[in-house]
Amino acid sequence: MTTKLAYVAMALAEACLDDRRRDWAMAMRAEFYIAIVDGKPLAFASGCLVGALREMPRHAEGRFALTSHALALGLLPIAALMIVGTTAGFPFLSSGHAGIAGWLAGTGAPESLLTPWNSGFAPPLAMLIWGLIVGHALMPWFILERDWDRVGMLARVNGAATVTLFLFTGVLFLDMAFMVLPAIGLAIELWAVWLLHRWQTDIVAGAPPGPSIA
Amino acid sequence: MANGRRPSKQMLTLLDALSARSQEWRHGYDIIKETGLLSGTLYPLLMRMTDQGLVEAEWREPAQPGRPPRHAYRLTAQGLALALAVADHPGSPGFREVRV
Repeated sequence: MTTKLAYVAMALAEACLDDRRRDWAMAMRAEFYIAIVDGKPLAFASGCLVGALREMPRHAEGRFALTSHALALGLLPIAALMIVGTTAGFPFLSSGHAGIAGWLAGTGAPESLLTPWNSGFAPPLAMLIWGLIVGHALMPWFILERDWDRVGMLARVNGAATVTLFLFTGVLFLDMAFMVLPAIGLAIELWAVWLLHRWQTDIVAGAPPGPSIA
Repeated sequence: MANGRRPSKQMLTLLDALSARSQEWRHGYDIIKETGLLSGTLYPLLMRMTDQGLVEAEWREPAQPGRPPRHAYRLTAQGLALALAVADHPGSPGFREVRV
C-alpha cells in the first residue's frame, strides 16, 4: 500500500514539473527505484512531490495548472447557485418583496407565476434549466482536462440555453429579475475560459519541441 | 552568492557535501543519505544550482542491469569556488553548523 501511494505521489511530482525539467523528473524517478530498495519510497516520493509543487509557481505551465484548478473550483458555485435557485422555485416564483436575496433566503413571500396558460411550458423549461446546470457543472471538468473542443462546444450550448431561457422567461411572463444570475454566471464563465485558452495558446507557442511529460 | 545573496543553510550543506569530494560524481539518493536533506529540498536546490552553473549533471549507466540510468552531480569550477569562498567567509556561520 505504501509503495502504491509512493508511486502515485511520484507520478504527481513528475506531472507537476514543466517540460524544461523533464530530465529532472526522470532523475527523480531513477532515484525513486533506489528508495524502494532502501525501503523508503513514500518519504522520497512525497518529498519530491512537495518540491515539485513548490516549483509550480515558478514556471508558466505550473502557474497555468494552478490557475485552471482555481478557476475550475471557482466555476462550481455557478452550478451550485443555479441548483439552489431551481430547488427554491426558479423561474416559476416571483422574487417577492425581498428581492432575489430574500427569495434565496426563503423570505419575501414569493408567489407562483404559473397560470393555466403557461403551466404547460413548465416541464420543458425545467429540463432546460437542469441541462444548463449540467452544462455549468461539466465545464470545470473539461477545463481541467484542457479539452478545448469540448469547452467550446459546452460554452456554445450554455450560451444558447441561457438565451433560450431568457426568451422563454419573457414570453411566459415569468420573473425576468432571476435571469440576472445565469446571465452573470455565463458571462464570467465565458470570459474566464477565453482568457485561459489564450494563455495556454501562448504557453504552447513558447514551449520547447518534444512530447510533454504532463 | 552566485545571485549576490548569502546561500541558504540547505545550500551550504549541499556545497559542503559536494566539495568534500569535488571530483566525484554523486547520485541524488546518496546525497540525501549523506546530508540528511529531504528529496523535496535537494532536487529544487540542485535544479537551481545547475541553472546557475554551480553544479553539473550527467546521466550515468546503472550499476545493475534493468535499472534506469541515474543522474549524477558534482560541483563545477564556479561551484567549487563558491564552496571554498563560503567556507572561508566570516559572514557565513551557518556553514559550520552543518553536519557532514
